[in-house]
Amino acid sequence: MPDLAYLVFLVADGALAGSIYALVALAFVVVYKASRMINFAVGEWTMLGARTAAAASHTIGLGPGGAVAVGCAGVVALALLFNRIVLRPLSRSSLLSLIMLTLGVGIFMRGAATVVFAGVPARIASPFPLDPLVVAGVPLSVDKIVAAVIATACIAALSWFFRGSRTGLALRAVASDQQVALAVGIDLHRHFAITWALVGVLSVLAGTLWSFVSGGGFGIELLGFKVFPIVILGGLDSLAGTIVGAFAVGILESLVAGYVDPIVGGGFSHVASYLVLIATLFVRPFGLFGRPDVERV
Amino acid sequence: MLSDHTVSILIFAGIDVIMALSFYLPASAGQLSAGQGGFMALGAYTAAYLTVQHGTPFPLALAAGGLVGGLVGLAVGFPALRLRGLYLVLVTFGFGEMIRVLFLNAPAFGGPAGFAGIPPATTVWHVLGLLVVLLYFFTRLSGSRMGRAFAALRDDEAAAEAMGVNSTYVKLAAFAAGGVIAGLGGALYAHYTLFIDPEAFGVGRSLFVMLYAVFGGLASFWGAVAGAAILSILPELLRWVKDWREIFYGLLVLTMMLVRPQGLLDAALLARLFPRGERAAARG
Repeated sequence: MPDLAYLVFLVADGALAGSIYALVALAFVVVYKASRMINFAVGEWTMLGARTAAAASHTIGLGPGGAVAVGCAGVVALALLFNRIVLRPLSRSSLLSLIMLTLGVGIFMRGAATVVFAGVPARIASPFPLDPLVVAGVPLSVDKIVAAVIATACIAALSWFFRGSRTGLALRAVASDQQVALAVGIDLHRHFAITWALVGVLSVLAGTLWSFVSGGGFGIELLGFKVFPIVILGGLDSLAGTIVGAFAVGILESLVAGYVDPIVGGGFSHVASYLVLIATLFVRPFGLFGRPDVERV
Repeated sequence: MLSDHTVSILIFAGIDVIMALSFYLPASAGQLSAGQGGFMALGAYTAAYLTVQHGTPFPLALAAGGLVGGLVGLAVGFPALRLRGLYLVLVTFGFGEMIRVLFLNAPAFGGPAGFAGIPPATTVWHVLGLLVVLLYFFTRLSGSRMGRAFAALRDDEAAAEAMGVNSTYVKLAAFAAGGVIAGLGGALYAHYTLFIDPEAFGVGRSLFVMLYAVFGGLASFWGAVAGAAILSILPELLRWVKDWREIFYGLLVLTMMLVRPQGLLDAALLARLFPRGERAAARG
């Protein structure tokens, strides 16, 4: 491949991955915005979403659309249950105990998924052709493009939901100041529930798309760890920043994997985003798009 | 007199306690580190490299492991000066990942295939001996000038500085000391398992170390000891539940954080356990 085409290929491939990262990162950020909770189990939620959709597709024999719908129903129900039973009594806990709580939830979900989905394949058959689409000499895989289109549509829908709808306005009010939101008559618990329903939907979508693209759900929990550089780069409370951060990290990883990994050995691309993260925090300790007051000790 | 199985449980539990203490030390100064696995890796690889490649005597290699952990801890402490809360957690988390990838790509240390052929040296007495030293150190620390500076910094940084605590110096000391302890833990680990690979010190290790200390409670170093001992021996006792082990473990942590978010040993319980108002309890 000529140099320029290779560069374009790497950037495009990174952007395609970035669109799925954006979904996972948004699932993290909506929770953080609403309740200042750090969800260390966001990767496990994505895994659960993927496994539920896969189970719906294998045991009931649904197509991808039906599997995602059943998956959403299941995981949204679980997320609402989690919000009602576990989170509601905990609204005023320290940063650390909430982190530990999500770690516990993550361990539990991994264990439960192994038991519940024992013998059910994690793979979801991709309905798209395997041959790559060649655009101006740059090969792009069809399932990745479809995944990116779906992910981008979801991001657009979510952005509209937060910007344009009345519920979105209320969610932004809750994010901005819970006391004031309560004072103007916004039902906090109802909006926390809506937030967690969003987490459920985003997890299923991100998990299913990732399973298409990666050809099986192996190591999908690790997707959660990609989220931290993204949200720190984007600033924890900024949806637009998160989306920019997700694409930036996707492209960065792809470029590093294409140019640097062959020289220094594999795996460097996985930490490149953390290097950028640390450099960013030196310059702007509250992220590129974040407000300085996000820290909480 | 002890069966091999018991010895191995004791050694691994002891190393977990050492690691939990390495998290507790900076945490007692308000510096949460989610990268203790990285320091452990540094100690393990340093000590193993010395004994295997240079035939260095074990005690010397052990000390070198602790030293490297401490020096890198000092280096990591610098970004920590500017960061607080979650941002610090995530940067240290990133540090741990970088160390793992570093060893993954270092052919001299075996890369992804791991580093094998480490001579057996760690005995249960080494682990218990280090634990006794550490417990003595922590007991002395909690009443000392430095220990009080840690507590002051954790409770209110601005107030601590106003009282004359040099926060830069204290934070760096806390990180470095945590690094030394984790490095020692890693060196002991390497000379018991005789084989190390980067995955042993990854994200999972760092987060579990954190979990041990928080589960036990951060009110005193006894919390880290109790939490690590309970949570690392428990999986052995839960062997019979097989596939359900992770579910029980997760539920236990979940329930603990719901019922006692401050951890097992909180200030009130410590005051009951040490009725004569020992310093650790009084510090709360």
